[in-house]
Amino acid sequence: MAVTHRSLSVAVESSFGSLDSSTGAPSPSGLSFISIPCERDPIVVPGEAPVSERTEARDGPHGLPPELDTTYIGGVKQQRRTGTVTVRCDFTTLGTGSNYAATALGRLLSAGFSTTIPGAESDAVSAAVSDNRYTPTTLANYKLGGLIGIEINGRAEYAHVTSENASGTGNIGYSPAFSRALTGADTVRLLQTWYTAKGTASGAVGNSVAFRVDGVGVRSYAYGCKMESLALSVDGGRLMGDFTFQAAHIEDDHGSATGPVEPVANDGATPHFRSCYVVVSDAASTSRTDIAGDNGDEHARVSFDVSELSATITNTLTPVGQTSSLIGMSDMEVSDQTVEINLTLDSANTTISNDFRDAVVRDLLIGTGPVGDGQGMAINVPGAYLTVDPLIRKIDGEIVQQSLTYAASRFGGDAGTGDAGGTPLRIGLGL
Amino acid sequence: MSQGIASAFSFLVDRLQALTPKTDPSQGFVCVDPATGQELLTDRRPNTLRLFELRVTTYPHDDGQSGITGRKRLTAELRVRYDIPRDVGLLERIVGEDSSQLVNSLRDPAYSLATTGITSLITGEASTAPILDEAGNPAALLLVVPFDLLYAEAF
Repeated sequence: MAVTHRSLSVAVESSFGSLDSSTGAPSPSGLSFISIPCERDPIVVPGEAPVSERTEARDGPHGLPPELDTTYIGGVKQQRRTGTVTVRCDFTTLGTGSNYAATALGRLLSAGFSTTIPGAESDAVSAAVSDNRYTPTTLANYKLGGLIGIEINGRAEYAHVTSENASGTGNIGYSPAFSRALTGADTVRLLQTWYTAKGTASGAVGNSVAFRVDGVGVRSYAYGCKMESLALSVDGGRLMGDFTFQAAHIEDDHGSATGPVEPVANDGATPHFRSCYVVVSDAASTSRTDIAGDNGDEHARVSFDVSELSATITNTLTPVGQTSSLIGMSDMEVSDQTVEINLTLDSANTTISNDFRDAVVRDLLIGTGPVGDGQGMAINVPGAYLTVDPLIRKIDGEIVQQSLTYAASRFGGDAGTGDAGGTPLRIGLGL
Repeated sequence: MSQGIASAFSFLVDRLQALTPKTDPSQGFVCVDPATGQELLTDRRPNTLRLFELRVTTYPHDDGQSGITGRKRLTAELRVRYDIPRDVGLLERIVGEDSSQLVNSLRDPAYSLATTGITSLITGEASTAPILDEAGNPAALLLVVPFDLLYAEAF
């Protein structure tokens, strides 16, 4: 009998499925795992065996063992399962370090999104320009479409860069506006931003990952994993993420078990849905066409009084078939993505009353607190549209509420297409 | 001081003591029990407002994080003492204002994780309880704000 302390580790795969060139089977050789600071309960030995049932003629009332979808390597029949790996964790930010590449959180996100890393973790505002523009100190450190943040009056505020050459003079243009215009005394935090690639880059993600489950006398591997869904929720104020990954191949190696591995935690701050804002732009985002000229979208903001938040991002994963390896595929492409963000407002907002009727697309930015050095997280849907009528009021509870559900539309409000420019979904984490 | 309950409580105490109350701001929040052998909050302290202490009510237990020495969760209470004045209505309003400010301070997510180990803090429903003197008469009022503390204890 053994206790069930267990851990889940993640590694970046240099090639999908981590196939050993000499066998065509996945191998942990060369993978560098890092233990995820995640919840214990969802960690299980994953997968189900893909089988083909034998329905052959028989001479009596008996069954036949199913045929496992596998192959022989060197005369040895290979074990094989497929299935999902689930991870529940918060989004504790980087703290010290230059970016999220070597963190578990960064690896998880990069298995479902592309990412862009600013040239520095912050930049001092050189000069004020307007409510949506400022002159940066080092323009080259910014990323188009990347999220930026700042603490104003003790609250974390965020926006996204819509132009790196606003006014044609190298100013930063951003939207939505902060609660006040930036001044030369401000320092802006630049966030590493994960985004959903579009256009010719559609389906691109940072990398596939491999997982390793470690317990007492237990060791299992899942190879060729990409993010199928990410559900965001709030637990006691803390923003939680439920990640689901599809694994191309799962196998066990209990004989090599060395016990659970202590998680490696980041030392920034744990994002909370407190001391922050949920805002939409006061005017419609540029959506179906691309904005022309040097200036991107620059809108003022409308703040929501939100009591509940949840969001689900679902990637449609399509295997790219291949017979030359055990796992039967060369990749799992993200062939589509849906975004659903649910907000409950305790004070109904009337600015958006006709948004569903008129098909208005707005810039939605959901912040978390705190923001600072190695801290901060925000979610941005720059072309968000309502899928429910905002005039509906929830009147079956104690107070009148407004339930809003947003989805992601096209966004053309960035002056350019580089980095995260024009992408429909962004998640930023502080550096 | 490394991450853990001691540095977490010190951090919260410092943040509470830095608050400026809305009514009668000259009498700020002062911690009487910073774990250095001070007097108890229930000791006789006439004509004082807003003396407070943090007390653990349920000691740390495993919070279900992976690995072995993962995150811990404990329950604690913030107790603030108010002397009984003649004007009970004023007292109730002060306690109400203070309660809101204290909850805001406890919930402020800038927990300095790297030094305190605090992952999150979840406040519960605040309540009041009387402190009785030897004759059984109310001598003071305690405002009690319970909370769950999620944190890491470094060894």
